[in-house]
Amino acid sequence: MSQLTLYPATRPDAPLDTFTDFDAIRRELAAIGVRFERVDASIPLPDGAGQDDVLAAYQHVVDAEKAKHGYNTVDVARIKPDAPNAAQARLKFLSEHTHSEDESRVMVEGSGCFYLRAGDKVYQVVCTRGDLISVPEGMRHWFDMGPRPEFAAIRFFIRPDGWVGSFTGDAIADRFPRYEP
Amino acid sequence: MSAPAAAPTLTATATATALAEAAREIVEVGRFLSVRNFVPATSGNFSRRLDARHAAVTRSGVDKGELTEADVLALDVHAPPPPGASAETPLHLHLYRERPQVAAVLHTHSVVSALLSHLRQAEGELLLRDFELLKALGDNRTHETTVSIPIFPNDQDVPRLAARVSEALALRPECVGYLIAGHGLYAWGRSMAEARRHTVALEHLLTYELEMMKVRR
Repeated sequence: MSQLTLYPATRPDAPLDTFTDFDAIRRELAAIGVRFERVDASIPLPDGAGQDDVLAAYQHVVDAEKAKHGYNTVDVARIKPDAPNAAQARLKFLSEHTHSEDESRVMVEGSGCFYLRAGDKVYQVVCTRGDLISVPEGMRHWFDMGPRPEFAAIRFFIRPDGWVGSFTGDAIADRFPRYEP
Repeated sequence: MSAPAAAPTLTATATATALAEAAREIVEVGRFLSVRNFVPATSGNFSRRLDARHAAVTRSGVDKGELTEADVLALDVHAPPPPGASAETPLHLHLYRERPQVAAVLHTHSVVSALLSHLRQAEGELLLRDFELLKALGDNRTHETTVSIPIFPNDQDVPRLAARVSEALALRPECVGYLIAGHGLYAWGRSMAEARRHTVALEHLLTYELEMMKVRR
């Protein structure tokens, strides 16, 4: 289930509030410029489904997002717990960074956790199947896929190198609880 | 997260044996790729894993068709590359650190890989579909699939380029190769033989794609 937990940026031990109601999560995130929507992601994906199969299954979502937001490139990131690079893949996104365009994705399988830093708060957003999240350009954030990464996400880009992260060098991520589904 | 356990260190003799075997494979693959014009002049670089912690990499500035075993250096995949190792060594080492199954990495500079990656750079990737030869890549069992070959902008800051490649590949566990725009192809495999098969197959698929672009004009 999707969940939002608010923390003071300086008090990872003292969460302020937790929301599990979709409308409440959407409202809280909209206040900091983060788009959070829900799409029907109930289409089953066979184990061996590749990028094409996932994009074909969700063609209607892809087309609608492209038309609304002008994305030029779409791809699928899919990782299973037994992937030989799973542990390394988790580490890649565990430090605070920013992107030069919005980071938009729809989770169509599994789950992962975004940590967004806005003002003096950290917003921990557990995204599960059917969640669409768009983290605005320049917002400090990190992503934890958990100790046994399992998710498939359709990712939308304006520029081909939109995925490139700029790491802030701040160790804030290490002070917050990790995602342990 | 706990720190990764220290990798076991091989004895000096075992390391020397592993290095000699890796060097023989690298010399051989250099001749094979050189006669196909995949590594003109002193371009390209190759590597072979020795164990969890070590790899063998080609020396800088040598014609890859004329390598000798003395042109192959052993190094620690977690340490900065020693002087003399290929300038692009960081692009090999992150693969050994992040993909335990990778046993060999081959980097070519063919005309077609430089040209096609340059022409299609703005797309960020090259999508290959419906080619019978796609079955030569990784564990593909059918040609009815799409294989994405990421294209990265060239960058003379090799450690920075390696960091960007590593970040992008983290979410592409199935990836067996990528292009650097205007530069060349990197491909790898779970053995030297598989890395060579991936290189030859990708070079062939790139050539096919380029020819297709000409026909469709």
